[in-house]
Amino acid sequence: MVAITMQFTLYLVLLLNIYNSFVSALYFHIGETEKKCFIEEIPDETMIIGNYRTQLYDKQKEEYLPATQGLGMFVEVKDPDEKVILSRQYGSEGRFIFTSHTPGEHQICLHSNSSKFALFAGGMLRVHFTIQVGENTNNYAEIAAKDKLSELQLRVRQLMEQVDQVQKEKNYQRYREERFRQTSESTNQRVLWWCIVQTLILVAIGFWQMRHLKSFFEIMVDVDDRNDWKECIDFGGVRLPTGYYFGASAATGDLSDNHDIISMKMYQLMVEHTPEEDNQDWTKIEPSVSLLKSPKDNIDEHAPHWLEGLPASSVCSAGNRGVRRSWYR
Amino acid sequence: MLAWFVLLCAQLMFGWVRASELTFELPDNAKQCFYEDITIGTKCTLEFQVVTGGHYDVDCRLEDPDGTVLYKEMKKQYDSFTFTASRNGTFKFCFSNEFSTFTHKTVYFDFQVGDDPPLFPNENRVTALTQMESACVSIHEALKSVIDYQTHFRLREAQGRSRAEDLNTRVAFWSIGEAFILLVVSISQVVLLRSFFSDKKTTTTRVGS
Repeated sequence: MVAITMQFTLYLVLLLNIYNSFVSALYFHIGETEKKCFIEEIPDETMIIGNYRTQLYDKQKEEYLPATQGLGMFVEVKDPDEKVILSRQYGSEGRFIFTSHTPGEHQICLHSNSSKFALFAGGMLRVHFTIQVGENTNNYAEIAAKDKLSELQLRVRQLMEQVDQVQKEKNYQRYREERFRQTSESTNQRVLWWCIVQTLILVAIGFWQMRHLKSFFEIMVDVDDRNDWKECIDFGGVRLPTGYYFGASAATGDLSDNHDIISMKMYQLMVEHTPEEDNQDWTKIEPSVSLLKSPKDNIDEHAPHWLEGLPASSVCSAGNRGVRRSWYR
Repeated sequence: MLAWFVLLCAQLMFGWVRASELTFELPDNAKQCFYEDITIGTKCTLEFQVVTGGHYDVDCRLEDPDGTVLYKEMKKQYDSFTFTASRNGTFKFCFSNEFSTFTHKTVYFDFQVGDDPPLFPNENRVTALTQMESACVSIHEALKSVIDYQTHFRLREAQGRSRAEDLNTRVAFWSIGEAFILLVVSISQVVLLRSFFSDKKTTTTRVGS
């Protein structure tokens, strides 16, 4: 009988101890629709106990009183992969426990679920909140009572728990360091690739610009003789040999018609030649347009000097006479 | 049994001592305050560190129940402040990110009130601890500081990792952006130069027929 009473009082005192942890903890204010999140970066297989207690501001008495029954808090816990591992609604006072299975940043979010907005009436809710992690979750008094440990044994048990926590944290540190190293190596690789790619782009663009700017070819047409020149064709990368002729041809389909070519003017824009360009034989250049396939076969025929060098810009005006033939068939 | 009973009652009588360690996210232009009821004469320590975000700094302010500012620092990355409560009441400490326009910060703080609760209340008993017990106590204290250092190291590592990941993203965006700009600039250079040679209206003077 005495033993039972003693045991009862023992557990009562234990409960009072637990209650005491609620009574005066750190607290903060939270608005009605506000969600407060806390982050806990923990290794795997670590237990976390969270205790909270809410109080509502009473305007009449101008103090914070324990909240009414209708007011509860919604607790949501997310693991490092954004997966929800705990999502429950508790009353105005609650205690939640969870164990992590993956190491990393866990997010614990609280928000009130007030169904009646009048309860808040623009005031704030006071939330007393504590989180105990890992070794601190152990209630040594309870363990001692359950396993019937002597003082020394309890101390050693506490040391074992602490060492266990240190070990878990060290393992987590190794995992974190690997992630860090991967990120650094990825940055390093990206910088290296980008340098190479950028150099290649610069060199290619340089070559292209030089070739393109030195060799563009433009034909403008003034059909009605009104001094209004319209662009007929304009493209770059043209390479033409010297000593050839320009010709003009026309086609009218089924009807026959006359086209008069009144004049054809050629203009040459002088550019600087590189020494190797000067040394090459301008009469022997294969006519080509960069990026385009030659539409007709080139037939080699003897040609006097008529044009010199590149680039050329040609202007031609046409009337209603036919032209018999062009050079390139 | 009786010993346990006495032990637990004594523990209650000693009053509750506690440490609160939390990591929370502070959005831009926001201020977050925490309150704690402290009895007179208790030695307390507030320690905080900014883990991620912007320039890794935050404003911190600690006030006593009268409103007297005990500690105020602007744009600090980490700090530790110890004080003894001069009176009973609610002490308030606030972290502010109001100077930042778009970065939100993750702040870790550790508010220790009083010393850690002893495992047994008979620390103060008349007879001295045995050698084993005192060895255990010293190991316990050493392990506590090890865990403390580990926490600090973890926070530093998180800060470093956050910077490294920021750098990685920035390098990726910048290299793509710059390659694109290079191409655009070079093509527009060519187009512009060619436009110098395109003269739509040419004035020609006709001589003869």
